[in-house]
Amino acid sequence: MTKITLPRRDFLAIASAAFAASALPRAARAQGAMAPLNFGFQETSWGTIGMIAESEDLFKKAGANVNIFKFDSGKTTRDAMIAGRVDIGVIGATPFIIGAAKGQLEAIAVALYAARTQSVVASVKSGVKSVKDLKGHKVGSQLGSATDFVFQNKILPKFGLSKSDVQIVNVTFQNHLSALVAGSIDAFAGVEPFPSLAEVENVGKVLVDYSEFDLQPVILAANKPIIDGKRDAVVALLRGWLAGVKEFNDNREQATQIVLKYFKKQGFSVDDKVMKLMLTKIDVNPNYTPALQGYLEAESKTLVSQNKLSAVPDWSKLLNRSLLQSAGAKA
Amino acid sequence: MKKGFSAIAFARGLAGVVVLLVVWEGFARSGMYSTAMTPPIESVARTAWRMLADGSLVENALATLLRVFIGLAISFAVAVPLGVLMARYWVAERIFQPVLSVLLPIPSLAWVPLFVLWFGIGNIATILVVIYAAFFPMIYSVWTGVRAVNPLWLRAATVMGADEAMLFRKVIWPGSLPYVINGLRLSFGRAWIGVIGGELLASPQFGLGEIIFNAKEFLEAGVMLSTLVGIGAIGVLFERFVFQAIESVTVRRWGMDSGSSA
Amino acid sequence: MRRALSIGLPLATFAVIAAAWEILAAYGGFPPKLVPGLGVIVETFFRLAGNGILLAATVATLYRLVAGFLFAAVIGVAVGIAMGRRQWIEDTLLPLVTFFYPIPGLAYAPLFVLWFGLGDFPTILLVGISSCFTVIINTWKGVKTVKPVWLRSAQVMGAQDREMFWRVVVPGALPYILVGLRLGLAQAWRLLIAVEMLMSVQRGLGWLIFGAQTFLNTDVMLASIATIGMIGILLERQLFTRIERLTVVRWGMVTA
Repeated sequence: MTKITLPRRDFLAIASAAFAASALPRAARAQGAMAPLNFGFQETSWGTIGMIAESEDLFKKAGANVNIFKFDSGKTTRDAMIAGRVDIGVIGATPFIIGAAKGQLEAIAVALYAARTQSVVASVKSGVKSVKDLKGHKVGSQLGSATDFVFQNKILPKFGLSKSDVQIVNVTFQNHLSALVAGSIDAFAGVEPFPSLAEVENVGKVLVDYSEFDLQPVILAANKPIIDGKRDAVVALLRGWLAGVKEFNDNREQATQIVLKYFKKQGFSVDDKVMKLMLTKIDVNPNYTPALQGYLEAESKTLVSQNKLSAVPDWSKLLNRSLLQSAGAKA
Repeated sequence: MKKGFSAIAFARGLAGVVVLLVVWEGFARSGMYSTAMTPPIESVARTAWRMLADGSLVENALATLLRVFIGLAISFAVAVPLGVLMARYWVAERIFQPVLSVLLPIPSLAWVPLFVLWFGIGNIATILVVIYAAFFPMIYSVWTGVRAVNPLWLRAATVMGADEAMLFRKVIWPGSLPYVINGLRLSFGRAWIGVIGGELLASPQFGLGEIIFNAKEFLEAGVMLSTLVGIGAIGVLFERFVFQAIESVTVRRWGMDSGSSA
Repeated sequence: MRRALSIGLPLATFAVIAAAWEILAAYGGFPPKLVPGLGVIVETFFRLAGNGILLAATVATLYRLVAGFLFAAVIGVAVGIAMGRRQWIEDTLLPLVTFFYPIPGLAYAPLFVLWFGLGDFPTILLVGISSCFTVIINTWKGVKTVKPVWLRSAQVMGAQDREMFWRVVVPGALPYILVGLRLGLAQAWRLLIAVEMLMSVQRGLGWLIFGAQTFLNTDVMLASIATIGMIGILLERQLFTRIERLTVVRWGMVTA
């Protein structure tokens, strides 16, 4: 049998041609397919739409090519976005403002209005009956969060208290209930599910929720270069997101079941009643209310006065409406 | 064995640091990475200077240092006797060693809700976290150190009529000292790591942990990096001027450690 | 007799701790959701083990842990030995090592996200680098305390550099190295659990603990912690104690 020998030059030529040829269909496929996006959300009540979108595969159904990343809070999501590793994320107002000022974050929609998920809860044994009674007491709050910001800068003044009238204790949300029960704090300014749990367990009473004091928008944010470079992909993702919004608002019962299953699948035992209660407190509306821009400007000014920002960002340019329109949102 | 200051050693150490700084600057100025997270050295230096000048860095560092020392002292006081007991008495080892190996890998953040529940928010909780962090390097070092004492020495001393107390003072303690000092060195570093996380529980007026936490919230990379550099600097200073000094007066003098040139 | 005590004593200790917990849970006046009784914890543990969730989370975390720890062990021992043997390496690296050692890994985790992205690989790298300093310091110290008389005798007996290395230096430093490895592994564990959410890994014990804290499923949290503890004791018994017995104890350097 004759041996067919291939001179090395020819071998390399054929090999590289074969490789290029195999890459070609891939490249061609990529041209037609949607550019991939990295999407991040937090596994808390504020990430509800993200959970629904993932469980129901809504992004793929909208024609988007989305890699989903989960985080424990809006702040770590924002950090990943600044690092350029996540393109679109769900972030609370204060962290979002910082990210817009120090990075390139822009709003492409509102994820939800979360005012009612936050409340000031007093322990039953402290005898505190209203926010005004908090004078001289210890209040737990997660410093740096949007929740804390509103508590210190809006709620306290409304009840005639200044920051020095109460003793603010830095406690992360997860520890609010433990600290309350331990008696280290007499009240906390926290987020769901802890207020609901406090009431169900009879250790705390909700004094007031944030709805009268604050808009508390949670923003669906994107990195500007992504908006510019992958516009079609972002619109497709938004369409998937809006499908989740519609499902949540039109079919609350099913949405609740989806979220319950999401957590139970991970092994957690969640009370159906607590979950239902919790989900009534989020206001899912992707549109920018007229008050939003003013709200962001005011909060930015406060941050500037606290030396956390050097200048107020130009909010008229950072709230993107065209993407929402392209995605077909009803204004 | 060289004692005292060696210019060559210092120069070499400096070279190492310079290389690190050059690499950092390369990252920062390459434009590939957001300068919100990797600011160039000049900007960090300016921030650090500001923090030093207005006293905030020093004040907070002292508060944190105090917590570290208290936690370290308590840790030492508990770990040394327990470690010796475990190494000398088999029964003690069988009781405590399994408990230690169960607790060793568990991060303090997992215990935090229970800590808060039982001890509340405040300095006590923070110091407990420091103790939890510093305890393990100390006890493992002491336990191994005592076990590594040459059994011949122990037998010789016993034969010469030493009782347990004298055995400890004259043989066990000096014999295991290299390990004990190393344990102190390791615990010191772990205590720092612990205190930074633990200060989130303390809500004190001052503390480096607070500064770092705040800086992360508000994306003040300059502040965070300055604080971390401060912590690292304290680590280097303690190594050079405390631990090696202790070693040169004890174990190196006794020939148990071949020593460094610094 | 000794055999029976060897197993009996630790079991008795854990029994005492378990009893103390149960008393605290039953009579401490804490809400059961915050301090669940032993029965609840055990039940939850078996529930999570049974439906595979605990296993999946543990395997995912263990994978990252082992990979990160191997990285730390190999690099740590290598650098530590280099520092111990050559003065110029020690002079150059010691300031850097003692500089980075007390800095919490959690503080520079966002930098790793920046440079390496999210997921398993950056997590492994972060955990590995953070815990290698402990190993370096211990190995370095171990090499420095190798009895000079051993080195000299080996030299006199004609040992070449490589023989010297493998037959004198490494065994001589082994007690310290083992302390370093134990502590390095622990450090890797502790950082890993804290960092899993930040690096957005897909699943793991860190996520389990975080979610448990979010929904106040303290029983899930304690079951996860118990799992970590069990792996800890397994590693100590089956890995480190065994290595000790086969090496430093057999050589008479360390009493059992």
